[in-house]
Amino acid sequence: MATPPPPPPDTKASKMSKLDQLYEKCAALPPETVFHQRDLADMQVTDDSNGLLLIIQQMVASWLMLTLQWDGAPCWKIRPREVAAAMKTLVKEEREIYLAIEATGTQAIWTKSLKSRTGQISQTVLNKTLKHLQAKGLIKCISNIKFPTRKYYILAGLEASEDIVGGPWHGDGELDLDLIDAISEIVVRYVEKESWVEQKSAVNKLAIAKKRAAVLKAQDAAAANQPESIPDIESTPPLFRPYLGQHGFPLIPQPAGYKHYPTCASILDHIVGSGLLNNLTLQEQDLQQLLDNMVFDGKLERMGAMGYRTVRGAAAESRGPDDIGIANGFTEAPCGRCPVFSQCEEGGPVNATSCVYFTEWLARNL
Amino acid sequence: MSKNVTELCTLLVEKEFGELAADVFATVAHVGRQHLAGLIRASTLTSKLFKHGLATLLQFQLVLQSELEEIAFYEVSWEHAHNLGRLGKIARLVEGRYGQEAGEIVTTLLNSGHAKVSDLAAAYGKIHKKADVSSTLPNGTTIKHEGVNGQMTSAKKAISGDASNDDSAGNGGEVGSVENSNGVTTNGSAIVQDKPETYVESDAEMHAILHRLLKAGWIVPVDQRDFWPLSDQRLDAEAWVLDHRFEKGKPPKGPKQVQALHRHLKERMRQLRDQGLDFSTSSIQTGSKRPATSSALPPAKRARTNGVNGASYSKAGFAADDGVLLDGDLVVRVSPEKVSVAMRTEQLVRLANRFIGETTSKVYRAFLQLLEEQLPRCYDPYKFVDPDPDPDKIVVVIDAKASVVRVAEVLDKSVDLYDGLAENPEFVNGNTKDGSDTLVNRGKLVERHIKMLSEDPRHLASWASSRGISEWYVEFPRLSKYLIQNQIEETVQSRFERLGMRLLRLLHNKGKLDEKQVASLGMCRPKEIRPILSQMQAAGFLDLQEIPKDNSRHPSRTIFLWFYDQDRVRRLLLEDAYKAMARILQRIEMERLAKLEHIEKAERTDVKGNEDKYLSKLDKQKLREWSQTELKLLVQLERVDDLIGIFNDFRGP
Repeated sequence: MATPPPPPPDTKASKMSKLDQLYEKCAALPPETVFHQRDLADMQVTDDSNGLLLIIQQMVASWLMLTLQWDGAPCWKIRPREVAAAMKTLVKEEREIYLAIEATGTQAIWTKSLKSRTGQISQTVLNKTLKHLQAKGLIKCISNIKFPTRKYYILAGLEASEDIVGGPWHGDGELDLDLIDAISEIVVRYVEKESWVEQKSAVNKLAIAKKRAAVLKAQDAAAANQPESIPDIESTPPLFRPYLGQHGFPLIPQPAGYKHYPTCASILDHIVGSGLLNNLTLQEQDLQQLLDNMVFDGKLERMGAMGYRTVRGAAAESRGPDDIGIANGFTEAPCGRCPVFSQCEEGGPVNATSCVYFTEWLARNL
Repeated sequence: MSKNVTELCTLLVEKEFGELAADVFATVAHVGRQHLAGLIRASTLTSKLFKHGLATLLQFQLVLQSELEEIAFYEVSWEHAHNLGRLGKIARLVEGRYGQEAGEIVTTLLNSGHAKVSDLAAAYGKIHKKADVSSTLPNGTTIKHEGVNGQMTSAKKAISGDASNDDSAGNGGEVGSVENSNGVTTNGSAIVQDKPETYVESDAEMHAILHRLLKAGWIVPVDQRDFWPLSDQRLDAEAWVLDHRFEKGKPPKGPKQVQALHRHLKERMRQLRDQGLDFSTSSIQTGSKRPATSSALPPAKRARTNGVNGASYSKAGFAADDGVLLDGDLVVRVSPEKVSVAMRTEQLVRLANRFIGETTSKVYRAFLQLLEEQLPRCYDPYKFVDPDPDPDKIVVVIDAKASVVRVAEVLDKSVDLYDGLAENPEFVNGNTKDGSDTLVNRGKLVERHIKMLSEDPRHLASWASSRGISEWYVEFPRLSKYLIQNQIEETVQSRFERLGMRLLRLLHNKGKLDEKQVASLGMCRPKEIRPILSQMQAAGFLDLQEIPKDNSRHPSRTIFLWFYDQDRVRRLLLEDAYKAMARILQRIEMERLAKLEHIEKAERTDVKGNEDKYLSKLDKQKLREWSQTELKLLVQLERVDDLIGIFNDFRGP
């Protein structure tokens, strides 16, 4: 709602018309306030109710006021002066359409429903009118997340309700993937910090060094072309590489019986506390949706009914390229990823003997 | 059986026993249950050759013989045929559990299918004495020792000989299979080990090892029935049940009696299967002393000496003062079901290693290996099921459990149990490490690791009881399902990126959803997921259900729901895995043919032992290439086989 001009000082009130006085008094109240006749009478602008009704009629006629119904009794809302002024210049159809859009409030209205609600206006007229109204800054076009292809219209001064624009994860009618990624990143880092312990002991560093030495030794052996020393395709077995925390120490799980795994509420507190949200408001149910999705994504796992823990190595994955490479024997062999596997047959056009994928794969790491 | 399984099994038979056996196997597999004359008619081989091949297959139980009728019918055994691809793995699994000697004995046993204990001892002695590479079987068939099991071919041996030391030149008589145990390791770590040559000192020691393997269920006594097809075993059991459990001449009628029949049948099958295991204790003679090898296994129970076995005791005639002595006439084989149990352990340890930590996974391995000894198989089809269960009672069936103290006992003492444990806030002042490395203390630490396993979202361990000592068990059926799902997800992730996996998990969790719901729950844009969903559908991972809103069945008036059917995908991937294994085997053959000239040269008897003298630089280079290629393919073969274990062997039907 356009902010109404500040109410003029009382000394000037007498100089203003009664209509203006009433309007200013209404505008001083929060926008979207609905006035009943009694409320308007209480403003004591006129001496009797007949006078008041007359003024109201004048205001409605000049588009400054909008008549509504409440339990059968009439009631009113004011419009900004600029809007009223603009409406005066509208032709009949445009006005009709404007009123129809206005009536739907924050729910916005689809062009098709608009057409049926305003009667027999042809599509071209409707389009032209909508364009005209938009040019005047009276209405705006938005998209609905439920029906991304449909055009919805709403008054320029209004924000569409959440089920139309779709919560904090949506921007401009589409999912804000960057935002989702950024928040996921924060969540993973926070949850990892809370759900794993970095083992800071010298004993363990020694163990890593030992392992590294073993791996290096194996690699050397491989380089020296000793056939027995290449038992696997990867010379560095992935499972023996410890997942490191933010400070480069290996991560170990919290002890059994740990009660303080982050919950949706505590994660939300952390995000809000970090001040990274700017003016975005995030509710617990929105975050819950994200957390569920991160569980599907293999980044988090549930601990008990409420708590969350990161899947081991999830944060390291987002810190650097995914070098943990989890694949099974099938997908590592050429067959598991072969695009023509279904045609592969001995004696057929695709077969193991002439397979180019095998040749390529065998040539690797040899 | 599917085309892929047939193809794979035939290739495996060919690798192990040569072309003739493979030809016969393919015929029997193709024709199905048939008598000898019919099989020979269907085959292109001569009757003599065919019988020769069939004999080999029968010896290894690759073809089973039905004896219920007057003419013998033949059928292939898929289980045993597929097991041929696991020989190296089996030896390694046994070696990891019971030591190198046990691994070697099992390898010998695998190489002869089944064997009498006395023959086994003789054959085993031969391995270390005779200088002949190919071992000759009782029926005169020569085994081709080739790479499927990770066994070194002689070509490879030649290389290892000239690259490291002249080991193969010195004792060229050692059968390749003995070496196979240290070539490949499951977790893929490169361990170069120079194992000292070990000899099983005496027959007594060998008997002690066999006894341990028997007790743990790795080897089982062979019964006549093992050579029958399953359907025959069933028919036989059914005839017995009808004879003994029902009135003569009155076949069971009505649902109640039919149910009773099934129950009795199960019981009979179980009884027949397990009676051999009783035999394993009754045919064991124990001497005055218990075996000295009680560190990793509970000491062998003293078996009762009854009259019948007392006779065989004197017949066997071995000096019994070293402990256990087995009946020399006892015929044993390796139990493929037990192999699955051990493979499952490996996979579960892998999970613990991936999701919790290395030390915890070591504890888990020790724990699971204790359970292994109580579990002869992953899934018992003849398990007793309460015919009318009390619906109000929640029954937790615990097949196997172990206490933390036992785990601490068997766990390698060099494992630092403090590693991987977060400081307990209760002992902030640093006196957690009170230094005492007692069993009680280690037990407490083990318990902390196991509790961590049980609190993991996958619940890798479950609490059983704490009557004085804390005991734990593992919910294997649930974890087997998890392993399947986990492998499917990994396959999807490597084929369809992370997003594909996320959508699959979403659909697994939520059930059937239309595209819009998938997009909103999965927090992604519809246009992004549409291509991935349809690609995954084309690959068979997802499916689409149409629900028409009216009779017109017009697409615009139809709801399309995406869904994921785990079992369907499992079967699909299983078939693919069989096929992939067959392709790898074919590729190995092709690679071998490409280098055949050099391989054959290295295998020549005059070249053997004089590699440096006769082999040119090019020969050596080519041989090196070949052995690396073969090794790489073999490792991959084993890894695909692990997948088959997960998809097929760990779960019940």
